[in-house]
Amino acid sequence: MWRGHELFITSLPSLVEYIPVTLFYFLVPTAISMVLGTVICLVRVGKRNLLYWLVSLFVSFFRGTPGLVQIYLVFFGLPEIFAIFGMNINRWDAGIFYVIATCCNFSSFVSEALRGAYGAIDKDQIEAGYSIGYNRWQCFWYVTAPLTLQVALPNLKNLEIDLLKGTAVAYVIGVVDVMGRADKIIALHRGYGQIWILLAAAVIYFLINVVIELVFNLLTEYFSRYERGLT
Amino acid sequence: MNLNYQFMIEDIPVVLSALPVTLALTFVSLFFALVVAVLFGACILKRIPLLRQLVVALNTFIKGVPLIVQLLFCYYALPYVLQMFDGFFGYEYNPRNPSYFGFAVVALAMNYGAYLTDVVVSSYRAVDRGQLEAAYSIGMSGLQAHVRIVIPQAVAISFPNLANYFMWLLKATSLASVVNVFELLATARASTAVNYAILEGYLVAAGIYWVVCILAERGLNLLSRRMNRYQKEPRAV
Amino acid sequence: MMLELKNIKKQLGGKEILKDVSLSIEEGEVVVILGPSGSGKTTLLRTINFLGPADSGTVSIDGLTVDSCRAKRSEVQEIRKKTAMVFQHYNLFRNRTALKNVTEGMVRVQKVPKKEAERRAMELLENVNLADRANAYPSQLSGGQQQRVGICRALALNPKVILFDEPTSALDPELVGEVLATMRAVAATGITMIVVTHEISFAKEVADRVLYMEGGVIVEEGVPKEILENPKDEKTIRFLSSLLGEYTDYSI
Repeated sequence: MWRGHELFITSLPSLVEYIPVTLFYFLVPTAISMVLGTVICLVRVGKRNLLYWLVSLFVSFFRGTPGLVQIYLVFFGLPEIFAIFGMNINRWDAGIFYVIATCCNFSSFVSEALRGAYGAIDKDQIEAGYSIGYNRWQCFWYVTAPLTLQVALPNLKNLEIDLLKGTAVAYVIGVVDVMGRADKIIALHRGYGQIWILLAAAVIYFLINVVIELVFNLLTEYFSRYERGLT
Repeated sequence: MNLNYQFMIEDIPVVLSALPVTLALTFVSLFFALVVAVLFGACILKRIPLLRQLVVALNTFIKGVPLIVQLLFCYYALPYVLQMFDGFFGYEYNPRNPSYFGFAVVALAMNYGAYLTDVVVSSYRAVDRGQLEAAYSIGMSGLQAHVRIVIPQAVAISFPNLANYFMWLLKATSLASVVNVFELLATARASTAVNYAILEGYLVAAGIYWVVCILAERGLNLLSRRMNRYQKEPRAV
Repeated sequence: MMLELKNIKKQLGGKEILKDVSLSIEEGEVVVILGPSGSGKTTLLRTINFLGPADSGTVSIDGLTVDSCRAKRSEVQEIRKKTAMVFQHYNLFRNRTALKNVTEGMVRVQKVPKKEAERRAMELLENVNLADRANAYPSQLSGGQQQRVGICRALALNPKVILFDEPTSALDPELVGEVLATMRAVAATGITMIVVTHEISFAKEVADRVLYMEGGVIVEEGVPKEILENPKDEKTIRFLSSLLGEYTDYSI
């Protein structure tokens, strides 16, 4: 078991090299899903029309099936869909499929977090906004959105951390991020040292998470800066 | 889209046959995760000096590492650990037939145990302190007061959260397919080995997961409401 | 002598809440403790059944003496078995019905057989007109009803002393009367009671002795007529006039 423990140290540099890749697969879905998640949430708190039911089905599917399954479905299924239109996308980078699958998944969870937060905010604040003459867009941008974000922030923090940890699964379809690189190193040293390589990867993921938590703690402080109370 | 619908229909019972494995994986892992959570939670709540910091540090680390990394780690590490115990109390380690199911349980239990520790601690703290005081005031011992009054209420309070984690665990078992456990996803993939209808296989798996999750969610919601029926705010009478 | 407190001292967060308080109460006495918030009256009450043990001093109840700084868990439990408490926020067991709340102590602590416990519990509930709500959960009862069940729960244990911690402070005004009436009935049975309250009418009509506490010491004590109508200490006078200012229909 101790055999190969030096691999912990030696594999670190090459793993660190791939941190930007992991961060890419973290930041891009974050950005896209925040927008998409907000749109989905708006539909879900609106009228119960056809769009509402379609979107709800979408959300239910992506929240009710495992992420790994979704990745495989997109990876094998998207080319089929494009084949209908006569396009061959099999040469696309595996990462694109991962991003698409993750965005569908993540935006569903984001929309639910936002929806819950929206239900919990003080609606009187919105009324106050209208009473001073805000139009719908202004009210949304200046009152509803900041309040909803503030309430949703703890949930969003946990979701983001899950997103980062989820990137590690991408290697099964061939994406080479930190975990993908670790997988390759393990394959190179078949037979021993696997746990040390994995430990190195674990430490790296842990440290990235620490940074994310710090960022979110700062964000939470920023958003609650008015809630200090009487000192 | 030229999907092999015939195959998909035929594949459903095949994949379903692995549902018990997935469910077993979920329940067994949840059980051990709860055991871990209660033990760790007790360390934190009772403020046991060194153990408490250790537990918090361990949990923080576990929560920051992807589950797949932990699963792979256990997959490689546990055989060595079992080998160490070979010969103890007549335990015979068979390297040809390691229990991949067991390895997955260990990883899932450790991972979810870390999260459930938070649930245990916060739900215990959420029980009104007055309940404990009232129990003491009628002469109950600490053990009686906790077992009869505080813990039942903490369990009811924690239930919605537990239900949520149950759902996550159910979906997380799909990762066990990467470490040789023949649960739902792995079975679905294997069933397409003959005709390369990979997409169809995954669609069947997705469908089954979806249905199971919806049913589980409904059931858990009902259970949650029943457990908390006496926690309602007092009506004006 | 039923209850005796000797040299009770307690500090909280660096501040001295109880400054060497001593008190003795005879069997069957009803003692009311008045005082402004922060005077230490609730803290004193909670040192008696060790829910908030004193830093030093002794508590004696019915012959059992326990030293606060060296109290063993078994001793504390014995003291608690001789006392019962009625809380400001009722603290009924939320996961038990009214009936079960009353029988819990009898069955679990005193090992009374279940049938006998339920019979006594129903009797007590009937006395407070809540027999028809015996199977209701606390969340289905009003504050006044919950408090009356709380009093039954305390009585069910046949304690030597019942401690009342501001029993009506959390109640809506219209519900206060029914609880005070219940407490009057309890006093009439001859059981020893210590009541921390703001309800001067109760003190005047039911108490055998009234104590005024301020700043962690007992400032003045005596029979109700004396204390409430002819207070001697300046602090007592100030407190009573500020309190009575609200009760314009109270006549001295």
